[in-house]
Amino acid sequence: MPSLDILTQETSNGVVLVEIGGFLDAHTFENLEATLDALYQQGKFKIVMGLTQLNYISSAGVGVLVAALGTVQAHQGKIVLVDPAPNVLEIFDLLGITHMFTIAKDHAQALRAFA
Amino acid sequence: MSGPIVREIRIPNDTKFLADVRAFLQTFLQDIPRPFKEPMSVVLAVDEAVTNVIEHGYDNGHDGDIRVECRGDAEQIEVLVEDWGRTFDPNAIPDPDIQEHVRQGRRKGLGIYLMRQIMDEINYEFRPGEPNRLRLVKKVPAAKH
Repeated sequence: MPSLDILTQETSNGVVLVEIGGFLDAHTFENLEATLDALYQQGKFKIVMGLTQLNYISSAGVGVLVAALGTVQAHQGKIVLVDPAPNVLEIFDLLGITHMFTIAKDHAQALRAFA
Repeated sequence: MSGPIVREIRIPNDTKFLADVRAFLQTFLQDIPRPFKEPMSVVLAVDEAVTNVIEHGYDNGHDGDIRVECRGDAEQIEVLVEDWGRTFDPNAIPDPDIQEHVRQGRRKGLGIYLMRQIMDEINYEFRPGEPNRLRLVKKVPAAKH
């Protein structure tokens, strides 16, 4: 059964790339939450979240991203979302919170946001 | 003239079956007389409704079924979510201040708001001895000529 795939990779300047694919719903959100919590415990609050392969997100998934935004900002960090699909962006638009997130079209643009 | 298309799915009380409900909805929305331009928003609203039943209607790990019946014609889509757990009327939950919600980094409480943004009607019915019924209605936009 397709679910949520998560890949993490640390870059040379301390930014962590977190690529997620599949669906982020009330069943799979805890996996992403656990991944992010592990990063926070390592003192990592600069995160690029690749969303190109994310096919679906519900409020549970948005909640994880909302919580992540609050956590990284509280630690002088940043989170950048990369290339979300239109149906993913639609939920942010429905909630009226798109403007609260930094969204990049690709990883290069996302990493420049940390320069 | 043919009648409405009616289909149902029944799932156990477990979030791992949400993907099945979504797949069922997507197939149904492709088969109705006038398919939606943006079916995923309706899929999302129903996902949120079923998630609420799982999270609030039944005790964690408690057995229970959730029945989702979809009815679609040229005018509207009606989705009925039935459960036999605790009553949980989403209409009793006020809309959060979303901006403040996000500023505080709060994770929960967005699902009902999304349902209200997407669906045209949300009706909740509870009668002793009968299943709880949440009825979601979305009007099909008129075809442009």
